[in-house]
Amino acid sequence: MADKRIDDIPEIPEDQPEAGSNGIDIPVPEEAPARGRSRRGRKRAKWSEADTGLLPESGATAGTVYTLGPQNEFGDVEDVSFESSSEDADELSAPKEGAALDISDIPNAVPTPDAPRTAGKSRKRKKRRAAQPRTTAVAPEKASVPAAEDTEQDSTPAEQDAPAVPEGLPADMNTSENADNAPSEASEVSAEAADAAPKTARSKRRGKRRPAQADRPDSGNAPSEADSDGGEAAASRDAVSSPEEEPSTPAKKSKKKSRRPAAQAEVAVGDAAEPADAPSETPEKPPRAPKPKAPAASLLLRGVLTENPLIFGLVGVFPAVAAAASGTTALAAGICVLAALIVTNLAASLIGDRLPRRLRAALMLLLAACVSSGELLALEALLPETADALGIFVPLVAVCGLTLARESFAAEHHPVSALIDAAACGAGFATALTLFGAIREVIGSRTLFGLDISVPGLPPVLVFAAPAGGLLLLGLLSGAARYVGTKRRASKRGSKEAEL
Amino acid sequence: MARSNLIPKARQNPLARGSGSLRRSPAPHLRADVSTRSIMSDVLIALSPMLIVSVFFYGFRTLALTLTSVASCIAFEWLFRRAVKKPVSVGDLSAVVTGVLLAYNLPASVPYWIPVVGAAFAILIVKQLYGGIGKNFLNPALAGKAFLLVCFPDVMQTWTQPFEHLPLFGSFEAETAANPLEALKNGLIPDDSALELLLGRHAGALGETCALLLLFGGLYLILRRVISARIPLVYLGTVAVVTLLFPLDGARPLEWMTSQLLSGSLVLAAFFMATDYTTSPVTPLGQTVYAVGCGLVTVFLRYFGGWTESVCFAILIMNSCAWLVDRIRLPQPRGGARDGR
Repeated sequence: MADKRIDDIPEIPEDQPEAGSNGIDIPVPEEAPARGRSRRGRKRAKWSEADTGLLPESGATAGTVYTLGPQNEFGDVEDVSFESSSEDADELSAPKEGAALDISDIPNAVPTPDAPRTAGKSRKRKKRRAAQPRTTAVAPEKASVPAAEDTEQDSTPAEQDAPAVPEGLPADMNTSENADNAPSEASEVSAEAADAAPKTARSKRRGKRRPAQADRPDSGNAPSEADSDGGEAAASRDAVSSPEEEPSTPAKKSKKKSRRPAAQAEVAVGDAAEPADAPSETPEKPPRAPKPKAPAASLLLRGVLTENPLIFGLVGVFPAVAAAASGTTALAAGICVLAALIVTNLAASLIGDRLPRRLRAALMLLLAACVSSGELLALEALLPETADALGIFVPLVAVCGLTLARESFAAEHHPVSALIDAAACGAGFATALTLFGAIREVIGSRTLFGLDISVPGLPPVLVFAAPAGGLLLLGLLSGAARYVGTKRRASKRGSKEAEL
Repeated sequence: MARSNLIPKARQNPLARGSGSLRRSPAPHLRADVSTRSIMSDVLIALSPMLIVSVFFYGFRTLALTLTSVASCIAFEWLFRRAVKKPVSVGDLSAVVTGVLLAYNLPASVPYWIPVVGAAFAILIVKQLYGGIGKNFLNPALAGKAFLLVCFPDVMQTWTQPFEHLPLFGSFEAETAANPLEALKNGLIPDDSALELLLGRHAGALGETCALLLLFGGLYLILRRVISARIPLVYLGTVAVVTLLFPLDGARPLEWMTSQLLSGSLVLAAFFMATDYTTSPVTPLGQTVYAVGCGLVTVFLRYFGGWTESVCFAILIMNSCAWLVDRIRLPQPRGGARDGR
């Protein structure tokens, strides 16, 4: 939420009565007290609204009033109350979810503290955007729309509606998705702008939200995942269904709204594009359903290779360091983790939002403990020697960080994609662990999966059979892999730029 | 740092020639002929007599080992700095000191690849990966020694008797000798007399045996103000007090104490490695606490640890605590009357 709001702020002209901050539909006169960009300014404005006796509900003719708590998780004051229909509710909740989802895709993401990162990024983004010239890339279709700067907004309603379209765009153009969607949306918007001002008002509000959403892909830490989950799907859906997402500047939306009772305008179909549904609307699973198919390949790729939990995420270090002193034990430990991960991921996806996040995490730990107990029994029955070698580390699989790291991703995705993700991450982890264990075995005890490969005159480097050496080697290998990864990414980026 | 020469050095600034001219220059205005290089040179000078004695004890193999170690340290440092495109810092001689100290901690009978491996670990992983000189959190030579000890305990704990000269090349069968530490470990007073321990006529690493020369070297460093006497004296003092108070198995306390002090690499480490600027605390109080900690951990590990030589582990442990120790401050009352009331 916070990031969306921040995105809006720079575009709000000083003279806007009660701009997007609480998007309330209040017939405030044009010459209403200036609205500042700062939070304080917003608060002041709100106070003035209250002063005039125009409480949010008074203006909201249609729909319920959704009020987000006084303070969100980023510590920003969220004096946001949006009136109106269910799409708005989507919108409200969606960015929040989106922000969470954004980070939860990173393998080692921790459940809670993900939000601030997004918020910080958005802040940066906002700066970047603010720095961009407004008049830059206006899509051809938009040429029809009168282009005006937001400084002129106050003139007439019609004018204000119109300029909003081209203005909003250039700011958003920096993301490729937006650029793609722009034409269709823009044309639609211009059409709408002609007939229904309220619509436009609404569209502006949405538009302001949208850019941040669309930005997410490139702001996300991992490019591959960004297009795989939220971003791509959302973008495509936008293009199809939502005419209004793009164009508006946030500043105007509120104003427009103020002019029009928001009641009528029920435009946004495309809001469903938001990747996650509001906690209040759990039954809205259907929009997620199409997701799993598309990202399956990239899920696999990133779980196994590009974001391997062990090498890049440094998740599940303890099995690597303590248990994986040889290839065999490493393989066994990896399979244990894989099995536990599949079960917990599936469960997390099925449970989804039905449980609060923390409770869900605790439940996942419990579930992993159940699985690992079973694994211990199975290992003791089938492979007693390996079970002895692993010792305490099989039960400890229950608290392997990998389950928690993937849990938040799974909870927000369809069971199929959660399953694929679990399989990919688990397999990637198990593979990396096995290789790592084999390397340690070769260096530390001059055997490979139990086979003697000792070279005369070359004594084993004993420390690598011990946890200390495991930690050392893991650090070195992970560092080397990251170095290669960044190099490759840099060269890829370089070639892309060269193409352009 | 050395404060030996605080006389401003006449600068060869063409704009400022002549006795009466005014000069403008950025601070600091008091300049001394002290640099990393000069400090390291002093350390090398202080260490060099021991090398001669080790050649006298074990033959030229010790010299060859030391040269191998120094050459590998320089080579690794140079290669790494070149690889990461950073200014090559070989010229400050810190790698040479690391190489010499690493070699001094090896038994004379080790194969030549041992110092190479140790140097690779010390320079590449402990020193350069953390950013090079002044940024490592462990003493590179000690960390290299600990790594070798943990990786190759057999090779690293085979001692030979002094005056049994080892061949430069090829395999050899040398008569192994008992390190006095092994006797101490078992609660026995070693066979070597205190004088033998002091003069170095006992089994041990090639550069740690002759405590007398090392003491002279440490004295030289203290007089040159390269190191302060606080850390080595407090370190040795702590070991002396604790071993005097708690001899194992009812050994005679004084004898026990002198054997503990003079055997192993305690003297070498106390003067040359515990005093490493980078890895020791800065404040006087911190240095005292650090040195006491080194002494206590050394004795503790010698009494209860699994390794015969524990000095390197003790100092490494305290190295990693140095940042914490530096934060120790005695509370100072602020305000109030001057007489404290």
